[in-house]
Amino acid sequence: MTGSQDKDHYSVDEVAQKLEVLTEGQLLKLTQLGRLWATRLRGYDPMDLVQEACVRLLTERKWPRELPIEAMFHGAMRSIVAQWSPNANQEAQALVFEAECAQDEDGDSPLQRANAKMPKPDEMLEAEDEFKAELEAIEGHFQDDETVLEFILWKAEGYSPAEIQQELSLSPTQYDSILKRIRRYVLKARKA
Amino acid sequence: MTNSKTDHDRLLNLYDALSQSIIAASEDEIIEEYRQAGEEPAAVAESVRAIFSVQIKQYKQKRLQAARQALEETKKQQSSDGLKNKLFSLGGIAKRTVLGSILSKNPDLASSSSLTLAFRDQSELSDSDLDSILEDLVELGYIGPSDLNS
Repeated sequence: MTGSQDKDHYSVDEVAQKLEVLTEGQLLKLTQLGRLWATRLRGYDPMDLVQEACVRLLTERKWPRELPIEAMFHGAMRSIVAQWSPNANQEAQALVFEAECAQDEDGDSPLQRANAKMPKPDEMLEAEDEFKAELEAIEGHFQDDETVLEFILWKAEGYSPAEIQQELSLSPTQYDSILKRIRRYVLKARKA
Repeated sequence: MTNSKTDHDRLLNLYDALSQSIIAASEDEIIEEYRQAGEEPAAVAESVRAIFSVQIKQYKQKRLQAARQALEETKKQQSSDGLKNKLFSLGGIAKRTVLGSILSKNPDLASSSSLTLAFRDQSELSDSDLDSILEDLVELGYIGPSDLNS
């Protein structure tokens, strides 16, 4: 149960011990991650997300020893959002639910139950509109700063830090500074 | 630059970068950001700590429950093993007496095909058959410690 034989991952007992001794700064970082990722969920509080990530760390999710707790929570939250988000990839979501439901013994097949939980097309469109509005709100806040707008554009397209620094002629410090400005704005806007 | 991504994909990319920024930030920097945003860092941290405490407590309770269950199983198994050892150490006549007593107290066992022979004529049972039947009866709970005292 505690998985103590797996040397590459923390046992669940060790996870519990680590969660008990988190510093104030670490807890605040986890809260920020929760606030950030909860924007992609409707009907969930950021603390729901933090709590669910904690539950998964204590039950199913393996925590590699070399990974810091903040990165572990980021991965867990991203995964939860992928399952809970109204526009989550239907096929992937179906597979997740199928696996989760596989051991149930009530009438419907796992896939039927999964389909019943799938978002409706109008819900998905609505969610996509919300994401668009979210992006526009961020861009709107920085409308007078051409560099930040360009930065958001490139970042949203998935370009790496090195590529963006090169394209926008930014030093690593300038790159970090812009990212911090965006982060502070987004989190201030998401303040509970 | 391509524009094939959905707004969902674009937001995801941006949030991944912002998450990395949070992860890489120093704790002092994060604490200061909360202060600047007008929040009390200690209070926010405590609210998260409280959530974790509840979850950790639940995990520990489940673990304790599982450990208790395992202990009960072990005790039950040890008791069963002890009973079998005691039973097997008896002489042939004593074993047949115990079997006869159990069969007479539980006539429903006669429907079990493996026990039909025992019902019909216990004297035809070999010692190993007798031990096997007694072992089954211990495991099925038909023979308890009190059956060996009588």
